Amino acid sequence: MTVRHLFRADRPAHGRTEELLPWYVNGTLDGDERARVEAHLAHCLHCRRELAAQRELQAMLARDEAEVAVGHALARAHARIDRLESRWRPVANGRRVLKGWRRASPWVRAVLLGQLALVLTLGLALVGNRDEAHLYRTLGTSSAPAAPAARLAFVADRGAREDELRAVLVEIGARVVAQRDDEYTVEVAPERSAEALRKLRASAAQGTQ
Amino acid sequence: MHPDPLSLQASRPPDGDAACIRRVADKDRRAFDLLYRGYYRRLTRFLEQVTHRPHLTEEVLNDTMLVVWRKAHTFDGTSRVSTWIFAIAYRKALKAIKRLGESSVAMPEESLGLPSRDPEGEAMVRESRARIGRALEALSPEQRAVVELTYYHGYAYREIAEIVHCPVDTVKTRMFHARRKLKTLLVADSEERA
Repeated sequence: MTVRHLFRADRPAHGRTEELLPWYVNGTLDGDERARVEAHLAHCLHCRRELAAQRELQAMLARDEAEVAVGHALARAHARIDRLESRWRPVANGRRVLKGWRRASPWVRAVLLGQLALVLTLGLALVGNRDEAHLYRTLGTSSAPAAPAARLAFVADRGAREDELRAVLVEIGARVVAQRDDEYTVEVAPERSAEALRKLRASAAQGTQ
Repeated sequence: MHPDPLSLQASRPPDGDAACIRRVADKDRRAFDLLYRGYYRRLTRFLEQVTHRPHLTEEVLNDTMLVVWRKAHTFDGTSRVSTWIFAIAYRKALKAIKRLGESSVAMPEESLGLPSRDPEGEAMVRESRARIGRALEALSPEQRAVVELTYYHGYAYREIAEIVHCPVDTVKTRMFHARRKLKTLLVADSEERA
């Protein structure tokens, strides 16, 4: 070991290379930068030691907690979205309508009022003529509520990419009802369950390739 | 050199996430659920490390995802979806820290542990994590964000500059000072305990 190899901080190239080491460690440097760092590492003991220290630091920081309380947190996010939308949307829409009304010319206002009157008249006529038999439904009625959603459970292949899996789930209109690590339980419309199964299998097959 | 597996997490093509974001912009709750579940673990980890206030994590994460829900239509595809979401999370984290002032609740040491079946090894690992945790505590939230986005989330420095909204040289400088501080603190910590 020599001092010449330990410290080369007097050379600007050394500083520029040393500052890239964290991204050499995480593998995100482009080709030129990577080549420059590797050429420098070949003759700089200081940077090789620094590299080893940084790999150790990365390993230390790479821990991840196993337990995920995503279900509860997501439920709270939905509750906040519900509150947000129920609170602001009618107010915002109301303001927008009022603003539009003020800006509209008199003849546009007259046409809109005429349309409103027509809608109200038709609506009242429909209410007056509706068949009482349609107000309730017996268990034997053919137009019973929609069939319950089909539930599918699967384990995502370890090689499968998370964002691709998400795209497939969006495509088949699936709703995740439970998730634990790679195990998913999803609900899809019954008529789409065969298609959903096919697409999920194809996605898993891609992942293992 | 092969890229570390961690870096692959950040360097995926964004197609799936971009499709999700488009659906979220159309107020599709199922797409939102998928995105939320996909980012939950990464954002939790990132926010824990940046804020060092575990009790804040879920609130800030939900603040972030609420912005995603409301602003998905403004995502223009010039960056990756993950970069966009992490940038929102970073701003929300700094805002939460500022709101609460500098009073910090230290991360409990047990939360820095790694599950292991080897009790002796587990104790050593726990001790190392605790040392790292104490050292990270001494960094500023801005420095912790750069360290975390680099070593754990595997982002390139240019992407980190986008997330934290500053020039790439600032990212490199923050990392340089963070590493120097960590090194000094880790050496001092082991000497103190020797």
